[in-house]
Amino acid sequence: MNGLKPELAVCCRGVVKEFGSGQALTRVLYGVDLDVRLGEKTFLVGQSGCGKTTLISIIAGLLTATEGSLTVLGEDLGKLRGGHLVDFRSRNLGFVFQQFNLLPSLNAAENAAVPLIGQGIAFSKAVKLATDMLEKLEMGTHARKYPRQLSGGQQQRVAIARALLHEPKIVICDEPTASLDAETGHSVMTMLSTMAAAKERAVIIVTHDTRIFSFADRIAYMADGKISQMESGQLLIKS
Amino acid sequence: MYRIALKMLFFDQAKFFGLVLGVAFSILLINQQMGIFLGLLSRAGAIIDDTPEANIWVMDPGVKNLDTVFPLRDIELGRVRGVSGVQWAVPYFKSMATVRTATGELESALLIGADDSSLIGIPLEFVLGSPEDLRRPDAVAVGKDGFGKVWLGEEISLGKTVELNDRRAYVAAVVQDSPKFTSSITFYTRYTQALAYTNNGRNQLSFLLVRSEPELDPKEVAKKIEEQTGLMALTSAEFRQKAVQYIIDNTGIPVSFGTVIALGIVVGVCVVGLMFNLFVLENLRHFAVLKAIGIKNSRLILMVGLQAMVVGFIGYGVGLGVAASFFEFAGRDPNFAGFYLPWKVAVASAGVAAAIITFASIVALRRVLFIEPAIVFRG
Repeated sequence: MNGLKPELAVCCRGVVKEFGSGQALTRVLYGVDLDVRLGEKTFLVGQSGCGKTTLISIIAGLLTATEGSLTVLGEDLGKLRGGHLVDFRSRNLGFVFQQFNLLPSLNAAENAAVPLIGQGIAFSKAVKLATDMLEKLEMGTHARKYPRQLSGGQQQRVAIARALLHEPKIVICDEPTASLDAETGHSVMTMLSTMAAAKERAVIIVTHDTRIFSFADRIAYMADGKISQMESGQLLIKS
Repeated sequence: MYRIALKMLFFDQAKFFGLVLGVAFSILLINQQMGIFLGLLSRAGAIIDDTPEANIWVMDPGVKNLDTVFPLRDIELGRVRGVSGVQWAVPYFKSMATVRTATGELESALLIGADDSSLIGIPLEFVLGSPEDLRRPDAVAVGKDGFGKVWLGEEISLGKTVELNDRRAYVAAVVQDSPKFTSSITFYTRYTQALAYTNNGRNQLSFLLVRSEPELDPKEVAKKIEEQTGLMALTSAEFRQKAVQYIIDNTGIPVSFGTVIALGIVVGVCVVGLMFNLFVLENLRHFAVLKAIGIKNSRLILMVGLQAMVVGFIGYGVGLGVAASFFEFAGRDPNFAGFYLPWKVAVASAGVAAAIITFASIVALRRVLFIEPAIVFRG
């Protein structure tokens, strides 16, 4: 486990990310230190352009850090390459995106089943499991509907089902309520909290939406490519 | 994942049909044009095909094709018959004649004069009448397709009379012959009768038809004929090839058809390449999502490959089906008689379809493989 505390899902130390080269070199992250614990919902907040999306992309293994160390679930992500990294992501990570990113050619159940199908589970079995999951998310009656037939909130629930169906250890959510109205956003967050929150699972949520801060266990503030402040979500609400 | 790949492909129906039509159009052009081209070339040797009894053709050394002949002297027949290895040799007359159709219009017709006694040189398949009917005065046989040209819209029948070079001819038989390159109407009669129709006297031998002894190689016998007579003697296969080669070398037909076929391939590559690229481009974000979720590049390659294969397979089937239908239905028209879709062309066009979709998928795959999965976090 590389000395990582068992309850830690993510451990970033001095993570730097630069894009481009020469005169076009742009540094986005300036040595980020961040711990994300299992069983907690960690919110990553900050102004646009502060590096939140870059950080979660690195945590998800979609981008590689220029400098620093990143340990995810005990694995040094910097050392994982190619197929191993993809396998790791496939097994351990679930994603909820701001724009839902559902495949328009698949119905709700099929969309939710994609990670399982990708892991080699038979199409029909995966769709059956996905339908069960959608029922838990109160979307059972919409399982056969296509994304264009669903509201934003419903689409986000399908995305949550897709993120959770293969029981990942870490769920990464990027602005999950940004495209939703307040009521729907609250409902989606309640659903996400209920379904995703588990002792052995970490949830990382990038958001601007202060209305949902009450769902956070911890909040990491980012500014200028660094974590500027770390707070308990409950303390924030009380203050 | 393959099911997902197919669902993605079929979802955008307009693009899917566009892709299929792109491949189909290309395959249709290739097969239809190649079929007509090969059909035209085969017409160059039509009278050789209709005379399977002879395996050697003897002619003036200057002859380049079937349509430009220089008459041989009558005595050449005896000289050729005297060459060892020749089982039999018969005279063969070939000329153009003018025929007045039932509507009074003039048409150009091919007039074949076959050996009076054996009638070698007349197609073997008689649709109406029999070889014996041709022994009657002024009797001619007419090719089945030619009959329809002279007597438009009439059922084929015997007993009709026609003016051939301003002389009366009586249709005593209708034969099934191969469509010719220069004329769609062919009359067959006895050698002496043919000479009468052309008002020519002696020394009108267009060709000598020869059969070599069964145990001998026709090429060897032809060589002997050349050595002993100074005439040109070619086996049927050689003469046929010479006639075809003449058309290839001296007409614009290969260039014309080749240009259309090349355009078909270019259009296929461009249309399918662009549309498939567009299809992948529109689905790029979805491919990025799949990548982010944990689908390996190798699976994505197979997905795109399957999509391209399905497009290619269906497009090829549609294109080939339409081309085959064209030959099936157009072949009923005498003008298109003899045109067909050779299986080798169909197989070769499958290779072209494979090349088109391989090109299209390689172009599209570059985008899929190099797409950064992190774009899924961008709005």
